[in-house]
Amino acid sequence: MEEHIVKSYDDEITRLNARISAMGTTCEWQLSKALKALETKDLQLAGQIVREDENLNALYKALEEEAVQLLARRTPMAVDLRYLLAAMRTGSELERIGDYAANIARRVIELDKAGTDLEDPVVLIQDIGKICRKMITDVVASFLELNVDSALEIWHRDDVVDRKFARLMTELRGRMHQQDSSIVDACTQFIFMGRCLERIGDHITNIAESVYYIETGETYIGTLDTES
Amino acid sequence: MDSSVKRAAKRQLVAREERSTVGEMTVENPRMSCRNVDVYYNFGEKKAINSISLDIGCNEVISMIGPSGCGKSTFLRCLNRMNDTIEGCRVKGEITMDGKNIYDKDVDVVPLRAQVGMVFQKPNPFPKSIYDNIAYGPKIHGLVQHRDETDELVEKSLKRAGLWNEVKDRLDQPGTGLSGGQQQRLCIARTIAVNPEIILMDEPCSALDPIATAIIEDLIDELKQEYTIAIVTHSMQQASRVSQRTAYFHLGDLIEIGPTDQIFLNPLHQLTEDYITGRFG
Repeated sequence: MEEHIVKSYDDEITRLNARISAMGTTCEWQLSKALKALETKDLQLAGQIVREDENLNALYKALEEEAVQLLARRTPMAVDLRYLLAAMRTGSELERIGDYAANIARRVIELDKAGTDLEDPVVLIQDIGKICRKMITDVVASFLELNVDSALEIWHRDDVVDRKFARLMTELRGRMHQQDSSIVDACTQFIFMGRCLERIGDHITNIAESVYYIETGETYIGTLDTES
Repeated sequence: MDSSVKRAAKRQLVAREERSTVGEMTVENPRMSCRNVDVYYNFGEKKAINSISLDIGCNEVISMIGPSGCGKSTFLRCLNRMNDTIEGCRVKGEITMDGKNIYDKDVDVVPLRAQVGMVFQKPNPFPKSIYDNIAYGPKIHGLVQHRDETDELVEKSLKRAGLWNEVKDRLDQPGTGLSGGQQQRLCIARTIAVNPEIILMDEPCSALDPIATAIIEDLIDELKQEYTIAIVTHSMQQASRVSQRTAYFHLGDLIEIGPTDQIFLNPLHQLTEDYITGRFG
């Protein structure tokens, strides 16, 4: 976006962008640590992630306060108004993504209580998690750069997340049917973890839609057309 | 990434260099139609507005916005031939009302200015009583004959302008003694009293405090039931609150005209966006 006549207006937008950037980095870091805790069965790390979710909430609160002040002070119009609405929405989406990362960490602790070692679901969850981590980084970059093409490409990546989540569910259902009931508790935790990642993917698509909204003024009604 | 993923149809704003009007300048039920209107000042030396075509719809509030010197007030003054009072000013093109060009030689500007009334930036009550401020116009236009008729019209006009309750007990006191907001409503009542069809307002609230402004805006909302209103304003918030359509002027050109919601949320021309977002000097 080009500069405003009033420089302090641009400074305020720069500050909001810095908040979103910090929230994106924190989200990705929280998710990567949750996946690490799952891989290494590190309960101490899992507990730390749950506690650190507060940091992300504090970042979101600061973003929201600054956005409300900007709204009151500048009464933004057109692209500025769309940007501000999208920034508030993006902050909220990132805060939710952080909640899901913390939920995955909680499930790591519960999984340990189940006392069953299952390799394959962990691999599948790591696979989905890796895609989600990259999507978080990329969608925040697309927001900061207002790169609508990149945002839509990320939006369509969620289809891959959904397919892999469906595969995880099939795998877990199969195991629960075939094996004894001792794995049910562990499988339930994996289902919750997969569900968290699937929801993270949905929140990322919402951020991508916000980028589209800023740039086009319209709501993106995507089609899942990546099947080929 | 899969090759079938759709690419964004990114909205392209009309380029700054493009000077022809963007948006729908005509309406289904025009009260006034302007076609290719040019205005020159200083005996043709300076062209103030360039070939503006725009309909003013029945019972609509249309606002005109743009930076100082863009021609919005000049255009507004064309609509009741107020520019005739400026020496060396020449208007070309066609402005029709009821199928008649208001610039035809046989048009009498006195009834025209009653039919198309005007409210100015600075309230300008006559140095007379509140009563006479209202009664003067109807009397000279022959709209009232007797005292009781005049009384009735004064009361009706002040009521429509939302001023009656505040002044009914002091109608004989000078209009200039009222507060700024009350004076502006007195001027609106004076305009209404001669039974206009269109009311032109040239920055009617720029000299008023926020409460007086809110009262005038509320009044505009009520008046649009009966009148067509064209308002020039520097306040974009005011334009977005009171009008159904907004026209953006820049250096004498009508750059964009469209529904107010669209102009302020999603304009089509880069110059409009520059102006309303404060990116334009």
